[in-house]
Amino acid sequence: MSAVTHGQEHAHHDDHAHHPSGITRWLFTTNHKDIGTLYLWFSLTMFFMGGVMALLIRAELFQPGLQFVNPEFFNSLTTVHGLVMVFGAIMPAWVGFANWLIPMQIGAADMAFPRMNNWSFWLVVPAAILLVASFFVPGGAAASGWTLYPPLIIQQGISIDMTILAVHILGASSIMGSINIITTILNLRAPGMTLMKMPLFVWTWLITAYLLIAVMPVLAGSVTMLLTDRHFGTSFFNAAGGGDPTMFMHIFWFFGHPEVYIMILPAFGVISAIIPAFARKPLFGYASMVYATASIAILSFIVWGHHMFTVGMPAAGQLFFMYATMLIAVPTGVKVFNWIATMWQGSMTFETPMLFSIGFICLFTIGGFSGLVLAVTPVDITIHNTYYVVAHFHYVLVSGALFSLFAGAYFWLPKFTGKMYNESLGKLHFWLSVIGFNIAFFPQHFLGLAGMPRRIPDYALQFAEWNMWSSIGAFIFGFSQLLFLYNVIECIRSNRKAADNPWEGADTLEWTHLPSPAPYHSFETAPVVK
Amino acid sequence: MADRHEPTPEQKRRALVSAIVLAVTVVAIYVAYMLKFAR
Repeated sequence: MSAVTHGQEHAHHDDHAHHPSGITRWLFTTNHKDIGTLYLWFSLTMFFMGGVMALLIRAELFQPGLQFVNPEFFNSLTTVHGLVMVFGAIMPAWVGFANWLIPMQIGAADMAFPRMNNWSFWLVVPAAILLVASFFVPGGAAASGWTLYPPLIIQQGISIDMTILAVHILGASSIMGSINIITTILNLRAPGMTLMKMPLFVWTWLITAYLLIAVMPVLAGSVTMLLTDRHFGTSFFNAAGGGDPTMFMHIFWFFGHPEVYIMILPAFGVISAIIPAFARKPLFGYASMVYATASIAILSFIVWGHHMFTVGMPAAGQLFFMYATMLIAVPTGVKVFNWIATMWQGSMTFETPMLFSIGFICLFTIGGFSGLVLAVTPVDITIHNTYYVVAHFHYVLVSGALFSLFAGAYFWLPKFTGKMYNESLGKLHFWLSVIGFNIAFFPQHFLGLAGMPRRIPDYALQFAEWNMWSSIGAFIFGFSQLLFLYNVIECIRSNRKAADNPWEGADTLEWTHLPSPAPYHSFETAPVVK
Repeated sequence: MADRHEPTPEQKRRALVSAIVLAVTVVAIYVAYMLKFAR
């Protein structure tokens, strides 16, 4: 159903396109679209860096024995891969979409604090450099896993200080971004745009931003305490000085579990925009979607203990965290039901954004179910720190967050660039991603259930076959992402001009009130929403 | 450069108040955590 135009029908919008040029445009920009673009390119760069680390890990695990890397470097790879993908790729990508879309979807001219928006982005870059550069300092990069658990994190070299500084900077950036997003949504909506008329993507980001405000200071506090344990003689988490390493795990996961929802709630917003557009039906159960999103966010604060059943806690605590975790399946189930009900009897077509959205629903649901398995305390104690856990969170974060990022990228590329992407290439990207992803990660369920521990460079012979398949799948998945990069660049350079609204069913303000590409400054007058 | 509609003074004032409240919340959570464990 995509529509392509070849004329000059938007010549009257040319006056919108005047903007600063050269490097200063990008260094000093306060324009939400420019900053969104910076975030998106930055996150794509970090995605490929984290991807190279993942492929090094899978190359090492292709067969038993040590092939390419030593065990210390392997541990650094798993650690920095996690940190880069979480803080460098997925989160900045969502902030990029937020910057591009939130002002356009609520009818605002820009974010509430454009200069702070510029700071938010340019803080992320030195933090990423610190993270990646830590590979090249004596002792190598952090090797404690992305969770930064003491006592190992207290004992390692200068790379830990670089990592702690990077996390502090990224936290400050996220907090500034969240303040900007909340103030924009609450104060700059167009006349008539009540809260319950906002697109779901705006709603999910409003709730995500509140989550960030609540948990980022907690992470900052915990890594500050790590820093003082390392250099200022305190013993918050250092057992040798009377501290409690388990306390760090509680604090970290009080941040860490909401962090998972920070990465996945905006995905729910994107899928809630795409499914109705390609099913040509309004979203089923809009209000219940909003309440389900809020419920998931609230529940995310009371389930952190399920990450640490094995450290020891009272049976009452285990029961509480087990049942609280299972409770999250209820609002998540509401969402999946609503997406399916939206598609029910719709006039569906299956362009690339819709394919990635359906892939998201199927595969994210598998990740949700394996999460339910892990929520059962005795089961979790058995398979804790095995590859079952690795399989679970990759189904949530790759086929969940990443697939929805691709869905969103293909969906809004016509609005961002004014050009249509290559549909055949997009579909090839989808199918190779789905096939490669499942070959890579589904066997990891079997490996985990058979007892293979995570974060090891070598393993027993009994795990060899599924590891080989997992590595083959990882390389298929990894190299298929180059298709996405090519498709985006080819789209930008092509002459396939996109219509203002190339998707029949898309009805939010950026499609109905703005041309493609969206002008440098949106909305000469505030749109009135009825 | 093309015109765009700017936030009204009232919107700007409310945005500033919202931002200050949120920033204070962040600092309060951070300080509360540190004080709890620093004792």
